[in-house]
Amino acid sequence: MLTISNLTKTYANGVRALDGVTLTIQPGLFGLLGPNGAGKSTLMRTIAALQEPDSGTITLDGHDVVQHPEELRKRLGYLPQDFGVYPGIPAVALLEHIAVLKGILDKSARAEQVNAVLQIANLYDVRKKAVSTYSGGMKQRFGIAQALLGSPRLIIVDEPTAGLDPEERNRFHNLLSEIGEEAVVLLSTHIVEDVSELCPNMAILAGGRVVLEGSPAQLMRQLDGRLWRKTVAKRSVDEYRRNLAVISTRLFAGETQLQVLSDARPENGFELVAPNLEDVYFATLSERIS
Amino acid sequence: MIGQLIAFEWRYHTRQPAFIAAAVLFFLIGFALTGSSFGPENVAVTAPWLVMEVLAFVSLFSVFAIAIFVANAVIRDTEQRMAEIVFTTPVGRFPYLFGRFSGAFLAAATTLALAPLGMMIASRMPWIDPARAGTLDVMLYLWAFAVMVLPTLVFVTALLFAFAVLTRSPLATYTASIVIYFLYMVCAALTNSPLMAASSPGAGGGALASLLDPFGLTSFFEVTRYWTIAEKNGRFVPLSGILLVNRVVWIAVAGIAWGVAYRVFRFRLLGKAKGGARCHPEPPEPRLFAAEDGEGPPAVHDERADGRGSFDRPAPQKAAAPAAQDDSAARSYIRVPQTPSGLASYWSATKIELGAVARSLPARLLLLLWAGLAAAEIRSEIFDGEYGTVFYPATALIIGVLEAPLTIIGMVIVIYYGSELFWREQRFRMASLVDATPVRGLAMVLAKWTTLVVLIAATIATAIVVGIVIQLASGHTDLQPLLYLSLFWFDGFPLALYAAAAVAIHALSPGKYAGLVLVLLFFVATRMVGMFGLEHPLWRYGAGPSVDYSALYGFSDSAAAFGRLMLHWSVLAAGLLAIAAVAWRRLRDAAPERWRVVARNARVWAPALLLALLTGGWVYYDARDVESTETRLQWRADYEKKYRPMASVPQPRISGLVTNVALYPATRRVQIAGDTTLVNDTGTPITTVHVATRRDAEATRVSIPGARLTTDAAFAMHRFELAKPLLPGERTALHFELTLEEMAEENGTLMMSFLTYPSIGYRVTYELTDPKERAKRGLGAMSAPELEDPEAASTGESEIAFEATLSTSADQTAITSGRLVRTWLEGNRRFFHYRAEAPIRNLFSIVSGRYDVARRQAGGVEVSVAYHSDHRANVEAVLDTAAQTLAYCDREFGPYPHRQLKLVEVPPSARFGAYATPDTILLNENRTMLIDLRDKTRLDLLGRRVAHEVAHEWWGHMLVPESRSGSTTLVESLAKYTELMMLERLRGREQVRALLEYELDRYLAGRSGEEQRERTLMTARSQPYIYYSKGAIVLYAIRDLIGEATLNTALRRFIAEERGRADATTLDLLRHLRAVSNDAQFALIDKWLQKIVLYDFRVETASVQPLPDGQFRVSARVMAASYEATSDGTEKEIPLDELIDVAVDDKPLPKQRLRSGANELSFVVKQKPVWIAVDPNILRIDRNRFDNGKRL
Repeated sequence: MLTISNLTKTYANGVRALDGVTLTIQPGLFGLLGPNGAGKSTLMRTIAALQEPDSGTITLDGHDVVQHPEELRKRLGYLPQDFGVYPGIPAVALLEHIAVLKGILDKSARAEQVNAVLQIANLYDVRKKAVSTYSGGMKQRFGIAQALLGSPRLIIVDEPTAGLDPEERNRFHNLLSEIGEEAVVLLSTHIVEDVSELCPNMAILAGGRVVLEGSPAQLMRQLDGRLWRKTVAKRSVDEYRRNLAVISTRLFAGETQLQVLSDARPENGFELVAPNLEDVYFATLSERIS
Repeated sequence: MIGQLIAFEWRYHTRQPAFIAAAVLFFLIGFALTGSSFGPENVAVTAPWLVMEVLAFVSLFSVFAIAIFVANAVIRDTEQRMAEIVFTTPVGRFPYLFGRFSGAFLAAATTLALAPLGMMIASRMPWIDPARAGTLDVMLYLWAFAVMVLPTLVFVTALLFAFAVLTRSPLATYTASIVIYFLYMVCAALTNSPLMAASSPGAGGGALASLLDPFGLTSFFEVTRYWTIAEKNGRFVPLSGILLVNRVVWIAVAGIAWGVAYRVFRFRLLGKAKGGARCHPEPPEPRLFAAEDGEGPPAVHDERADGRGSFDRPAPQKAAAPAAQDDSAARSYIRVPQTPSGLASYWSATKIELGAVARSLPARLLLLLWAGLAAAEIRSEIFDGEYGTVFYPATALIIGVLEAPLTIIGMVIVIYYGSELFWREQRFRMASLVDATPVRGLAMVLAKWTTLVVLIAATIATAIVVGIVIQLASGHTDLQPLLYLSLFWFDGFPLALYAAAAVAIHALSPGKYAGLVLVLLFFVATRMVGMFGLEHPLWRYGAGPSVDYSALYGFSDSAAAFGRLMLHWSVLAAGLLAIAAVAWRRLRDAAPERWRVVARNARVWAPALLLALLTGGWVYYDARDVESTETRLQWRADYEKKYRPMASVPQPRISGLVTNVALYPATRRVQIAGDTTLVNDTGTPITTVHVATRRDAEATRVSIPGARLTTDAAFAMHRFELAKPLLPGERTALHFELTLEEMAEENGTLMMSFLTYPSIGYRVTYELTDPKERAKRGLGAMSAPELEDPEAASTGESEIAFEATLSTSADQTAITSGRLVRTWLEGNRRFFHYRAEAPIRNLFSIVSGRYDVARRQAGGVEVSVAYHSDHRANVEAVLDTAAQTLAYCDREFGPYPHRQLKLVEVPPSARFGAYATPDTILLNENRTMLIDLRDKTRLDLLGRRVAHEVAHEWWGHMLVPESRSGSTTLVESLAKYTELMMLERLRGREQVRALLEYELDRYLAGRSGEEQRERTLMTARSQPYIYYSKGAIVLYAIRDLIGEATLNTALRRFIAEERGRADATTLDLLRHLRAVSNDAQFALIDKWLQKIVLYDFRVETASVQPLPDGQFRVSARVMAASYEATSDGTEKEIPLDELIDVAVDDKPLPKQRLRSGANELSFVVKQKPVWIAVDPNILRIDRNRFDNGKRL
């Protein structure tokens, strides 16, 4: 179990990246949604003990991560949002190296697991090629493979599906759910779909704060009967925005579909729609703005 | 467009920390050099020559800065992953490249321009000696900057730019900059640049080296090689001759480099894989979680085998059974328990780093270049050493040659590779993967450090291989592997410590390039603190005392102190590595944040630093008795102030010494006892006697019967109040005993009497000789008076009766002056009783070692050589030369007073090539016994040296000069003359001419480097270029003028008159020369000895016509001039009318009378001539010898 309480972090340039974040995360997949700049990566890096918070505590299975990051690192699988590798080193050698760094000292066990994660990531064929020559998607899969090394109790995946095609993404999700049965899997993303497909629990981060937390189903239920949609002319969108709680707009066949949050039908032409997680997400963000 | 690009680049560079750091650095270097009055004593800090030299010197450092700027300019796109954005903009190839190049060049030029600014400001600082401040001429600085700095910057920037553009690799760029340095070092080594230490006399400069030196320093020195003080102060350094050619050549090379870069550059990303990525297609791209149906990898291979990559695997097949695939994927995931181990991580990381280095082309290129440089250094020092001599490539000599360049290259590796290695995870964005693992920072930091250490070790190993190959190639099979291995300890270990410091500096620095500059600064600072008076070893991180090696005693005793310091620095280095380890995971953070993390984790590194305090205290305690230079100089000044007034008090003279010396090689102790006979040979009664003893001696006891003693312990001066005055002609005795610790060596002990034995009266040898130091400490002129001063010169140098009993270990031979009367064994000690059969000068040595001895009877004299058993090669040659010189001097100058002449090999730590004491000559192991004489065309340095020292038995031991200016001329110029006569006899005139070429060069270069004022031969002081080099040329010219027999007659009379009087002066020499010469001859002799005279001969035109009788008429126009120079080198022309040698094809013709101006010469020769030369045998001092001849 991962417990985060009152985490704050202000950067030297004055940006308050985390502003009292408190979360309790049970084993299983946990989705962390938020727009760019919400503080997701800071939170991920802080949980991964790559940087220290200004204040607040993080515990994993009762171990204090901030004070004793080494305890966390023994239990961590981390796929950063953006990473590179030493040039010219084959995947298998690099995985062996990371495995050693993670403390897999037994040679045969290490070789076995390296092969296993190579197969999981379907890089086995190219295991002797330098990772630095991989394409974006392959490199991302290498990142997944290395995160799986060892026996992580906490897996942090930061924007993991970037660069994967839909099919690969799907399989990756399945893998994550499998692993989620034994470990805390923290999935940071701005793709709402990822969370709704995978995560029994989630939180939305905005402006360095947790603005919403719960299970996707429960959160969607909160919007039941309050979400309305109308297709309007593009030029009138601004007027609607002024008068109604417009949470999102999207173009549809050249015209604009508005989604409005309201306890009653706002005006003629609006139809009630069944909310999905994306609506929850937009509703939450727009509430913050208003 | 280009303007905007350049402006953008300018803004970019000027905001980089490395730019600021470099700007500050160059300003400080300029300020420090001028501010510390760098340069010759008597050249103004604002003088044209010095300004140019300093700026050229500063430009050496520009390479580091430019490497960074260029890397910033070119590689930043790839490094910061901007390339794809930049390369797809419509910017043209030329504007892009030119903009980038200009940015780097402007940054370099701007930072470098701060150096002259610093120099100008420093020159106006109040502490600058007004005599050296000169007048500030800004134009001069601009000129020097334009001539020496800008072309260098253009070249260096262009070359590095080309490398960077072609490779997009910072390391390759750095390697290119190292190549530039190598080029410079090779040129400097070839020409013995004044900026390189240990210039050996006579290594000929080369036009090639002048051309090849990209910094133009070599050509600058070449152009101004013989400039006098006056010229250095006043003469504008023109951009002409080889300097102009050099500058033009390198700007042209810059143009070519630029052109290549421009031609090759494309807006393309270089292949991601190193080496030929462009040749191979990217690897096939399998998709994630492919359907394996539980079959595992072989299935994939099967697919590939049928020609389709898994990339081509049809998608529908996978989509068809997603559930099954997913199951298989999840099933194959196994969890493996983790037990992080620092050691395993360290080892794995080290292997990764080493692999990267081993694959890196720059590293291989670097080692290859280093091998080339090492070979060039060895060749130049060992096969073309002082006077062009070949030495046996003994391992001791090779490691001596390699040490300095090894340290430089090692530092360059630490500076460049240190920055690359340390920031590798950041550069390749691997850090977040590595940092999320449980690996300890220490494991990673140690892996980086280990890699640097391995690189250093590889550099040393390369040098050793080069050395061994050279040895084997020249048939030298005694490889002494252990001696080679000592390089790892004495040179490698300090570099490993430097590597640790570099790692720590990077860990605390804001970024890679700032770290690189900081490491460079740190290294420069630790090497230079000594210049600012901080000479305690504890100021110099990673350094220890210098350790020398002798085949006789092995490594010097300082090896132990070296070990202690290494231990101390290791503890500190451990602390530094611990600091780096703490900061390791925080490299993404800003530096101040990292410092806070480091401060918070003090418990990790503080123990090591505390321990370093302890070991530092130990080192400090250990070195507590070692005086600083300042303390020692002040002590000597204080001594002079206190005791010099006493110099005029009449003192008795030592007329005899009976001494007992017990040497204990095992414990290094020496006990000396002795009885000195003192005689009052002054005209007045003496009531007090002052005795000076060695001040670090222990248990010193001195006594004179019946005299009351008061001792001034601070100055080790003992004052005796005699019970009754010592009347003129009366004698008394001084008994003394003293113990010297750490004096004996395990083998090859050498003690000089003037450093160990008591002396009577004021000890003039304590006087400071450096006029600047004297002035600083309020001291006037030294006590040795000028030649014609009426003031009495010091006496007491006259001859003594001498008897010594030496005892040493049973297996050693102890040697001193005198005839060996008896030797016997007493317990495990061997005794040697020596007695001089004739009085000797009170200047003897005591040597003890395990020697082999070769003897030969020559006339009535037994000549012997005591040598180390491995150094047998030259024993016969030494005996031959010594015997022949003995015979010549005995016949020509007067009988040799002893029945033996002993030559003894002594360790190279003796700072002389050879040294003559009465009937005993000391030969420096490396500089005599290792000379390879097999090539008879080479100048016979050993023969020259031995003949010179044997001659000193006459010039210096039988003829003892009075302590006045000009005294060294009597000793050294006459020995030099004898040496030339012997060389002529032993090896022929050709070698004399070769030697005189060296002497001419050494004289002209010496007067150019004169820090005070040039004196004449009559009044020379400690100016070797005058009493050796000018003395050799002038004495050889005198012998040409009046003949050898006549000259030797004068010298024989001179020595006969002076024997035992110790009061000869150059005036006496002049008088004896006058007696044997006619007026015309003496006019010349007088001019050469009393004045500074220069000649200038030039064959302007020369032609040859066949005559009807089959002979040939040679006609030549020779321009001739003569100049007299003042002591600061200002010249005025004087009339010339002298008989000068002219030769055609090396066949001497009758001397020709040459007068100032044009001289038409014409003569008939039998064979068709090809070459005519004026003064071919170098009997006159001509600043440009190379226009003295002409091809016909």
